[in-house]
Amino acid sequence: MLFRFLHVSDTHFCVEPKRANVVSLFRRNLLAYFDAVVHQANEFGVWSLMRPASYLPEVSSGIAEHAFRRARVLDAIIYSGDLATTGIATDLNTARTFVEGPVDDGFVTSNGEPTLGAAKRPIHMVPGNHDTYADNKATPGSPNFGLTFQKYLKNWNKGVGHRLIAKGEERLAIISADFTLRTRRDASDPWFKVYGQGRVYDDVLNELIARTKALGANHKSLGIIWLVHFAPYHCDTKIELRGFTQLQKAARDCKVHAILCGHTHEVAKVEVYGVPTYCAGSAASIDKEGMNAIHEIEFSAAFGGWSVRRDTFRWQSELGQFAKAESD
Amino acid sequence: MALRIASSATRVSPGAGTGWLEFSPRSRQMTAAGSAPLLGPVRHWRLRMSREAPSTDPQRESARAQIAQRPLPLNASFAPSKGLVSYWIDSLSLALADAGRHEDSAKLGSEKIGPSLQHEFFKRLRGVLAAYAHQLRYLPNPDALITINHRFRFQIQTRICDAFSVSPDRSSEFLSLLSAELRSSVGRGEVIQGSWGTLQPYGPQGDLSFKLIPGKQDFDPDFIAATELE
Repeated sequence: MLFRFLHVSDTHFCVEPKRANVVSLFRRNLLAYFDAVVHQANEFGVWSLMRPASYLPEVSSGIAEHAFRRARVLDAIIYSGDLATTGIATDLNTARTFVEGPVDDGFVTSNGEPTLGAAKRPIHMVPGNHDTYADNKATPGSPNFGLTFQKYLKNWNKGVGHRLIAKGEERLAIISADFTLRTRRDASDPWFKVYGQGRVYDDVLNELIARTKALGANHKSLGIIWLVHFAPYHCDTKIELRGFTQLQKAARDCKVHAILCGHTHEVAKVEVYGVPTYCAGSAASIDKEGMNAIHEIEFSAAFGGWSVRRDTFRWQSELGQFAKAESD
Repeated sequence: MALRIASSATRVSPGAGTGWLEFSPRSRQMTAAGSAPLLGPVRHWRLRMSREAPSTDPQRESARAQIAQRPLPLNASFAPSKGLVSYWIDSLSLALADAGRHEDSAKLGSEKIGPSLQHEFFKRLRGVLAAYAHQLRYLPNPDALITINHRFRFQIQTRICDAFSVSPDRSSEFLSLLSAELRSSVGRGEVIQGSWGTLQPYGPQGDLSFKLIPGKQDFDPDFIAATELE
């Protein structure tokens, strides 16, 4: 039996693209603060001002189209964080419309907004650093993500949630953990590293291990996926998950079959201690225009173990669609 | 500790998926004539072109030209006029000035409109049309008309003005000119198409309509969706 998921990450929805985006964006002074926008400015210079939005509306429409077209061959949609540019309610509401907007026909709402809701597939998610910014200065700790997306954070307790799904005799657990910063002081530099870093907190890690072991004890040959936002391997210190080696060792000890993450905006597969980590590209963030990616991940039980395979779909502006580009 | 990294991002050529290989013969000639490289994809394209030094061997040069031309489409595509692009730049410049970014506004306003900006305009327009067409093609009875009596339909007007941040006081002229240029381009047989279908002339008035490829959901009779236990 094969489990197939659509993996989406880092859409960076923001209220600004709706109207008067150039003006409002600079009034909010996002340019000075946020990693993605700074990256965009570095890449495109003054011409980035023509692309002031934090996400590309036609690409987000492409994600919804892909999810809708593939809905009947998907078990679920996995969203590894940074749904929105900030955890401010207006930005999260734009993301919520995308996640669960009321469907009219096809994959759009009656207002013509694309939505994943049209796919009618379960959605698993975890917050990213952007989702928990309480203001435009990236102060961590906004509670709005949990309030907005509570129903997608199943069995959530102590920063860890899980879902257990089944096909025939096979069982697969998706266990998600929130390693976003709680305070500025938890970053290696409370001023300049607070925007992109995460931290492996002991209490969250302990809960993640305990939850994994408990599920494993109750279900023989359980397939185990860990879902986190931050990439648990060596990255630029500005975007690193502090203490990621603890997570790597815990994944090995818990016999995790795969870790899914996002955050870096770079498609990558990294294997440490025999546990593969599949990092998703940015699905719709503007700093990756032309490189936006979504993924389909397949898990299948074979010979007492589990095999994992991933197809990457890249945005093709000439098609107006995501198209299969590579597999790993 | 065994560490294996396979970054598939490195396998994709710069600008892949941006559509910049789909330069029309017109815009390709214009770009080759050269203005300053302003944007990522264009910059990568120019870099690649500059690395391919011309050969003195005519046979080799001819073979290389054939190889280089193979991925390019045969049909010409829409190339907006400089006047049309100027509405976009002027509006952005105005918005920046209004936001207090006078230096950027002046820089943008004084920038010469060249082929790279025209191509960027085309890409953005194609993106707007493709997104709308994909949304329509999954509807049971899509109304595929784009213009009626040469005016863009309301839904398209708002999307286009959004995409180009055109200020309201210039939007009427901008939309009229865009409609005229687009209709003229399609009338000449130039092609705007994608997996959604094609933009085509419609009716005696010379309006525009999508010729949509109906959208279908993928289906696998062997696939059974998982059930949720907890």
